[in-house]
Amino acid sequence: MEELAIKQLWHEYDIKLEKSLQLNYKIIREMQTQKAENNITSFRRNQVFGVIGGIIWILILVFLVVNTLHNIYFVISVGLIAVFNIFAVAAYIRHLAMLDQVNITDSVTSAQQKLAAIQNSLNNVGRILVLQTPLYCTFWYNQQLVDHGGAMFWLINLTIVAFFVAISVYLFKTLTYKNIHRKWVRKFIESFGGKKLIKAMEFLNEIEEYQK
Amino acid sequence: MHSDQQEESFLAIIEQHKGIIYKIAKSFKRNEYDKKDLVQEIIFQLWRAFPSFDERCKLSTWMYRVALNVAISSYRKEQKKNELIIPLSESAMDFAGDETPNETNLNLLQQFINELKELDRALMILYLEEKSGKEMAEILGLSEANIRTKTNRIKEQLKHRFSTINNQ
Repeated sequence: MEELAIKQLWHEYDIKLEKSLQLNYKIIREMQTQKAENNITSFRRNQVFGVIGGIIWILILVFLVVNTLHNIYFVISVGLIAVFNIFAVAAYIRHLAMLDQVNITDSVTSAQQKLAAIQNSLNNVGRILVLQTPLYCTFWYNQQLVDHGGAMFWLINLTIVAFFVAISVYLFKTLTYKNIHRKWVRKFIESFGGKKLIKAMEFLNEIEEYQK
Repeated sequence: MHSDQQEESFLAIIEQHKGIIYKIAKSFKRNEYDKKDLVQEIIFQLWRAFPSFDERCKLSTWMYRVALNVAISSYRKEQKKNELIIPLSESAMDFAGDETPNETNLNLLQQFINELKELDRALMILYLEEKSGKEMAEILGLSEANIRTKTNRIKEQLKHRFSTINNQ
């Protein structure tokens, strides 16, 4: 079939649609008067909740640190957990700013690149937060435990901490889109809502392919 | 513009370009429910963007940008259909006649479009809509040279598909 015939086919389809499609004015008028929630506003709302929840959590952590200054192990562990969470809150605030720059009337590649950048950043926040896991194994240490815990106690405890350090660093390094070809990475990312990231990154690859 | 006037002129624009919305939704969603959902989402996003429409711009470029961005971003919705405020038992656009075109070639063409990657699909729709290279570049945000190369490649694939079928 030649180019002209294909275009003619599409044109005939157009005529058919013109005759057969009927707008439901009642529904469209309802849309015009109601403020429907769209994906971007629901994403924005989640980010705002993330920021508020994060700030509350950081304040609680700071409060605990300030009131437990005598225990250096607690201060370091919880202080570092607070630092991780400050980073997450800052990233969520940055997402809100990035979201303001997304304009649905921009060119397709420009709008989609911005959305993909947010999606990628969201995934990175998750990966970085994984790194705080070992700190939840150490916050309860104190000087008395260090002095009198005994070799076996420390052997078991430090093995657990080392295990969590290894696993969290491994997850941090592995759970990226570049490892998506690994079956378990894909499944892991997908099970934590990463399908959007996968689609966004696939689309970015498609854009890059065009720009070659 | 007064809001009643704005609502009426928006309705007139949608009426005039309803085919674009329908064809994009059909090219990006196979399932009937998803298609209705996408039509509704496109119309809604057009309405939201309408007040900021710059009349110096071409209306069709603006429409294609919004519709394609919504269609391509629809993966962001996943299964959250409950976010819609208007139940999908009623749709914003209905087909009065026979919804499934009987023409074999048209079905084949639609099938070919559905199988393409998102950006190729967008490009193919614009090509079939006979948009100029410049307008396609403006809608997609790519250079005209990139558009030309890709369009030729997709056209070849399409020709090959039709010739294989016709030779069978």
